[in-house]
Amino acid sequence: MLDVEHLVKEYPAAAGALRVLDDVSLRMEAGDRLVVMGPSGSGKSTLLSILGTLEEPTAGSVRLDGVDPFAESPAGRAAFRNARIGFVFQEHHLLAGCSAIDNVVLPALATGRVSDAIEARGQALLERVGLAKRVEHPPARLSGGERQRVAIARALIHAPRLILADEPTGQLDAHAAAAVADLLVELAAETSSLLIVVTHAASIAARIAADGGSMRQLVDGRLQPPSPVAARP
Amino acid sequence: MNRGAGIRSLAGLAGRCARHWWPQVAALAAASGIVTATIAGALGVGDALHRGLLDVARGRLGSIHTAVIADQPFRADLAAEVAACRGSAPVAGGVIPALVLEVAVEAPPTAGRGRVVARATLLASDDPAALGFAAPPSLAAEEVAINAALAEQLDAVVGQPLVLRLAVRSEVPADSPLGRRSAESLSRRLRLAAVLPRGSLGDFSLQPTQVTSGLVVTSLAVAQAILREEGVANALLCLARDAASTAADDRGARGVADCLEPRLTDYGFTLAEVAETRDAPASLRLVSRRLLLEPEVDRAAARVLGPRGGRPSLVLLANAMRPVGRAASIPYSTVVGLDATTHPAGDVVDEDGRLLPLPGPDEIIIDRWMADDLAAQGSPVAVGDLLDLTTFLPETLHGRVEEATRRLQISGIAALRGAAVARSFVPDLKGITDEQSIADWDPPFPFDRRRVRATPPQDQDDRYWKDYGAAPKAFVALATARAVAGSRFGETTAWHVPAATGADTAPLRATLAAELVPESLGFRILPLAAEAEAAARGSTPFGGLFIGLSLVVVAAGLLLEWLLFHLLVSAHRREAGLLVAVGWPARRLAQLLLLVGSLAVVGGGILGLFVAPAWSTALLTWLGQSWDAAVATGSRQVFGAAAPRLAAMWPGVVAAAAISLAAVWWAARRAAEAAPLPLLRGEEPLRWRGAGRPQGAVRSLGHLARRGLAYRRSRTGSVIALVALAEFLIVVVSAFALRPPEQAGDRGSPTGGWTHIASFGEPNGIDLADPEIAATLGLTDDQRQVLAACAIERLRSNGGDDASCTNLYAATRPTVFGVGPGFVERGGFRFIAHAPLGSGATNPWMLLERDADRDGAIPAILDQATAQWALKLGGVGARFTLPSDDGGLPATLEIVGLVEPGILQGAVIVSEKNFTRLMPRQSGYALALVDAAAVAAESPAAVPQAIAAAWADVGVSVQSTTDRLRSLYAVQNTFLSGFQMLGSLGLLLGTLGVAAVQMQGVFERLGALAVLRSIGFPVGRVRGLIMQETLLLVGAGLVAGAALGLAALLPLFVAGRAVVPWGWLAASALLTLAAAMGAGLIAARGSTIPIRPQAE
Repeated sequence: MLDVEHLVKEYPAAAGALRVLDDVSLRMEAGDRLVVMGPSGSGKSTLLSILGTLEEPTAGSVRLDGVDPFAESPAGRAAFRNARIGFVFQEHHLLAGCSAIDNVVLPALATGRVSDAIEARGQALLERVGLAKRVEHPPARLSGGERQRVAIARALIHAPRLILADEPTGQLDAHAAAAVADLLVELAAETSSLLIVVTHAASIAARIAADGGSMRQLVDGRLQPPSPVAARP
Repeated sequence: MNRGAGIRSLAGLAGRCARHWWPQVAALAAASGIVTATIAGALGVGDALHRGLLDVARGRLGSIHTAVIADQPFRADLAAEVAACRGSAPVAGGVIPALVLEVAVEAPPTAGRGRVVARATLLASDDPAALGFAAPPSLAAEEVAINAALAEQLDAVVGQPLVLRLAVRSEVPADSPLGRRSAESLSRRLRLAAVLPRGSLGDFSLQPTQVTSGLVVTSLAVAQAILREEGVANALLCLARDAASTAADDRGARGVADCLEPRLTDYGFTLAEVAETRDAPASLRLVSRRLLLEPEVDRAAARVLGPRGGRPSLVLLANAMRPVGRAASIPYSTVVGLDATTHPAGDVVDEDGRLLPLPGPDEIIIDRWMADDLAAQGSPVAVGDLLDLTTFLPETLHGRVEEATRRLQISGIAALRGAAVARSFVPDLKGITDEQSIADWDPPFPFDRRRVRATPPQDQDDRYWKDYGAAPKAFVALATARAVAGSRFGETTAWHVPAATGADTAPLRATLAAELVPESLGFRILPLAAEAEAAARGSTPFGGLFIGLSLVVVAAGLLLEWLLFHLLVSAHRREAGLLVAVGWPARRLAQLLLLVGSLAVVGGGILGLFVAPAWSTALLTWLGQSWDAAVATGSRQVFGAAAPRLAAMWPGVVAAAAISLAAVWWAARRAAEAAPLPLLRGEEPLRWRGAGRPQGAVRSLGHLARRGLAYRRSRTGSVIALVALAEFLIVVVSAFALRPPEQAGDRGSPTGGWTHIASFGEPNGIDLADPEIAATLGLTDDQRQVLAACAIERLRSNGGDDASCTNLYAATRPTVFGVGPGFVERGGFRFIAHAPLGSGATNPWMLLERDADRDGAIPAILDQATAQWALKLGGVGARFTLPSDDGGLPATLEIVGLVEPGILQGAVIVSEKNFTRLMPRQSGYALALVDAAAVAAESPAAVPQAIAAAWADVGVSVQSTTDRLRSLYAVQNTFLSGFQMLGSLGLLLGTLGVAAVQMQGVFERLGALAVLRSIGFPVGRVRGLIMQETLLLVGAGLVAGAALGLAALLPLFVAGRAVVPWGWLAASALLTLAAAMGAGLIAARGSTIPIRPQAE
């Protein structure tokens, strides 16, 4: 369960503090999906960074399964992130010198060696995202959609409780974007993970939020009430 | 399931990253390689030089491991006796007798001028092949071989004649009034049969030295013939059976000492029967060639001869004996000091044959002849009358013979028999006792012939001489005689032992000889192999020195490594950010980055290890050429004798790797601690903050360039710091380049106001101020005038090792100079520190005359460089010990002053009085300081020519003090040049850093630069922007470094102790700016700036 309460984020600026998030509260149960939309500069990515423990909030709290990651040391927070959170970024952020499977198992190297079990899970995830024949391919030999699928597999390697996707289809064509969005939804459902997606694309948002997901607007740092969501096309 | 090439571990991932990030990793490896090669190469220099010194020192010895050198000739047969010593390994390889002497060599003129080398070494041996050198010469009678160095100086060719000239050493110490102060030499014309090449016997030297000086090799017989002494040698060369048996410690010397049993004749003593002509009984007499028996011999004689009835005596020369208040006088007579009036040489009796009582401390017994003669002169004397006894002081006073008078009361008149007619009291003295007539005397002391009555009818003195020879005319108590004539050279002239005529005296001689310790009587046993080993440690730790000199390069290399690693991390911030985002803790990320950096460092280390020998060789070659040209010709062979070894460089590689890894680890930790989001976005952590925050709009390209630099403050600061550091050090070091003073006559300068130094092949008593001596030197009128216009101070020296910076070898027996009151009063040189002076005193040299303190520490003054670096003694107040030259206990010295390094660099300076205490066996002066300021300006060549002529017979080399300073300064200036060169290399590395930073900046800002192009900037203007950034970076570093350097040295500039190095400032700035321009061009042209913005 994700429990976000009165989240505030401010940045120092010449004319005083710039408030990017303003009293954001949010509650999600296992298997929930949430799409956050909003104009540029509304604080979407900041919200995702805080939920992903990449940034600390100015005020408010975040609890995932009852654990407050910001109460941890930096190392404890990194371990929390490693075990419970899966990130998918707009850019795939794959290591250029590593193959697809190497990139997928990368989170496992944070604490030690890559075990056979992890490698097997990585292989399975790559098969699951349709890249069974691209396992040893380096990023340079993968298409944009394929790279993003590798990034999704990487995000799921530790079966995270929370999947955060920041504009995951921003650099993909419509067809690939739809496929990636569907894949995210399916995989999150398979692991009962919470899924939060930030996107500008209304079609992708509708696709993810359909069938039980929710969609909310972030305007000037404030999270608006849920919007009605259409059924999956 | 397992993948062969998959990444399973952090190391695997690091390897993959390193491979993928190879351009940055290669650059980092190159920087690491530079650091490694610099440090390891510096160690290589130290190692190669140490081994080079050792090789050269050993090469000078051949198979010789120990030498016995005596200050007087001994029987050459002693070598065979030592070699026959059973069961002693040190002499098992053989013992070769030799004469090793200083010699002057002249190549007679064939066409034009002949050439003379005033100081060379003569090695006379009948078996040079045994010495273990390659290609020993085979010499026939009247033939000589010389080494290549001497042949070059003489321009001599095989077959031509050479004249060898050997100084005749006075057997009687030159400091004794009976020692000869005029010079005499013996010469012989020989045929040059061979020139000994380098790497052969031509390298022979008993002292470890980097310079091969002139060597002459002859047979022992030839040298003995020149000296006119048959069957003698002055050196025993002990040979090793093989290289392995050459001990690197003094075991060999101790073994030789155990086998060395000289006979009395080897020491210059004679114990033989003397037959008096009159009624004296036969007796044995122990006397010395040196006139006085050393205290050690006196003690041995008391032990051996005393129980056999032996009695000592001390003869003194009375220049005059005058009854008090009368005009009469007895000139040039011998007076004997006895401890009893009954004596083996004869008793002191009155006319009735009754034994006269021994005179008291202030009494004297005169003989009948003297009493009668005084009466004949109109001054009859009787018992109870007073007599003035005038004698020479037992030691010359700073080289001058002085008289003293003692008033004594006549206690008896001895009959002309017994002791009164015994000639055997007086040892043989050439020029006196061997003369038939007193008119023929050729004494070494001032002799007023007018006072001697040698012409009839006033020929009383000559008739006495013919009747009684050197028999004494008076007797005093031995204690009185010793008070008058005793000295450091001894206080007994003879021991007499009753003996039956014709008795075998050999057992007694052997017994007495066995009581003597050779080391205390002029035999020095030198563990040459061990000394070579010790000396080869070097005067300067060149490895450490070059690490010091290379600090700029090392620091610049490390900064470059840090910078390149920083750039590596910068270039891959997003990857790092991703790892943080997926939960890698900072420590883990730092480990990954460290591993990547380690691979570069290790690779660079391996690269550096291969480059280091070449770097060492380049440094050694440069050092060899510099020393050869500026310090001492021939030094090159030491620097090039041994190649740098990898084994010696390993510590440098490890050290370089350690400090490189430390730099990388520090940078990695800093990088990993960056906030995740900026990392993920690829953003620099430092942006405009605080005072650096830009104000207002950009108004020019230069303004834009400054903004660009301010944006990357961390990198900008690093590069500026790197350039500034190198420039700072170059400025600081360059300011200390040394130049000899323009006026050598300035007493406060490092010349002390002296214009020339003359060093003598043979210590001597030649005093140009003494008209009698000067008249014997064969000088021309011009030369006399030149010398008369010079101030000359003679210095004593123990002939020890030169501890100045020009000697690459460590001084194992440092040189000690003894300076007289003239030198002390004249003062001079600049004191850096000294002990407190007495009230009103201003001349710190006077501290040398201070009485030894309660501990008996002798005051000493040294130059600061020798005290602190070469001998490592410390500062004012520090104490150290020096061995005495007679085998006695080491003496303690205390530093009372430190002078600025100058012409006396490398020596311990004590007062002449203390020198004679320290070195009781040393006699005469070994060098002279000349102040010819009044003459030199008019005729510069006349001074050295006159000095050379004055001391020609003892062998003299003359050097101007500015030349001496130039060679001393050349050492420091060579190191400064090295530092400057290495500093410039550091600057170039800094400029490489600039290039790297700029290249990286261009790559990172391709998008922004493309925007400039897209809005109409021509590509040249964009490149101009990059060039301006580059020049700003380097310029800021240069200005900061130079300003800091000048500010740091300001007090010295003001005090005139350093000179602003404008030349180096300009040269280094121009060089660096040129390199920066190159770096800017590379950065500007090395990347294609797109015309449309792209994602960065």
